[in-house]
Amino acid sequence: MAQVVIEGVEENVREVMARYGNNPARMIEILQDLQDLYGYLPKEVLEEVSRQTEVPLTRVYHVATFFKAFTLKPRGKYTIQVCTGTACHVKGSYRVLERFEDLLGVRPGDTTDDLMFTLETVNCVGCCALGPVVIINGKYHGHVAPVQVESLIKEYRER
Amino acid sequence: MVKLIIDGKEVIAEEGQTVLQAAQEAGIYIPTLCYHHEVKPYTACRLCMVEVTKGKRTRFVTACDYPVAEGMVVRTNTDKIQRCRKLIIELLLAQCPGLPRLQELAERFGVEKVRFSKGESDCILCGLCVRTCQEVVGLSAIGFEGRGFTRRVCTPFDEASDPCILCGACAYVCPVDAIPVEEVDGYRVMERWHKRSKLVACSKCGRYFMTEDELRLLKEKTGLPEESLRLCMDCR
Ligand code: SF4
Ligand code: FES
Repeated sequence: MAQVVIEGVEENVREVMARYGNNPARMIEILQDLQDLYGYLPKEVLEEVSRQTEVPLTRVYHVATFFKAFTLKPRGKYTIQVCTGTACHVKGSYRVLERFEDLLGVRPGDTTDDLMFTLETVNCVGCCALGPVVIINGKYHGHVAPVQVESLIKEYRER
Repeated sequence: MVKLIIDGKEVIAEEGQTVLQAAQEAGIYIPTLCYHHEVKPYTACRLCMVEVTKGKRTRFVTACDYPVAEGMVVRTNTDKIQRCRKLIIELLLAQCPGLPRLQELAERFGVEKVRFSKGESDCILCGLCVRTCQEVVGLSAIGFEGRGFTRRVCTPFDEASDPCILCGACAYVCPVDAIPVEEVDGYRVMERWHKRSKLVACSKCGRYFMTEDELRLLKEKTGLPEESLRLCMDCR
């Protein structure tokens, strides 16, 4: 796993907590803001939240692992979401996904070591006519064929 | 004082008691897994299910947290309750097929086979260990992770938990003996929490009786001199 440098944890946590009146009951919002700041929830941040809120680390950790919206692993610069909803699946999205897995060397939910890409699957994004759909940092790519995957990755890597 | 009827027997209970407490005091057996009298009811296992009739209404409730009420009629062993218990045990056994304590229960309640796909967990997620560490020991050294299928009991990040003193209270309350505690070469070891602590021998009889982490906490909490704390219960 790539190492990420995490800075200013103590001040950042203090600042975010102040936004919520230093109220530990607003844990979810506190963690959301910190995740926005760091892109994920680093261990050091959760430990600092526990220290400052005086909520046991086990509880903070449970909240952080309970909600799908939180991630404890660093995220890539680009998030690739491959739709595996029914329509996209029928149109062969699993082959597109496989191609991403092979080329990036990660499974859905994981991030490449160079912190460029995070691969994810989503279930239906509401534009089934475009299937198989791949969304990269919010930009929709329709009718993606497995052979296009390589150039898509290249395109983003070279940006 | 509240008067109620449990399995046809008139029982006098105190206001605020639960059906389970009233039944236990009257010598009536209700099976439980996630309940312990030292911690708050949590209603995770549902094994203590009983039938309660109040007025015209009959419902299924968990005895461990249901408060007694005047004139209430409780049945703890109807056909429906028996079926209910069997299903609960079957489901738990599907999740944790290898637990001897569950297998015993299955035998006792006549669960012959498990019809559901089998998991490989050794924890029924009753949370007794977590709640004991929080409510009784006051350390919250272990907790839950995730939810649904991936929920489990662990230390944060699956690393040695700082606050843990290896007191073993979690192991003691676990209804399925899922938390081993070992003492090897002068250390107490709890693999599940990735933690070990050196054992302290009684300064008089020489028997190992607590861990250094426990001693440190005791010193902090009581402010007593260390020599007096280094004596075991029998030598004190
Ligand atoms: S380890 Fe034991 S006490 Fe803790 S939740 Fe699992 S079954 Fe319950
Ligand atoms: S003992 Fe009542 S729900 Fe577990």
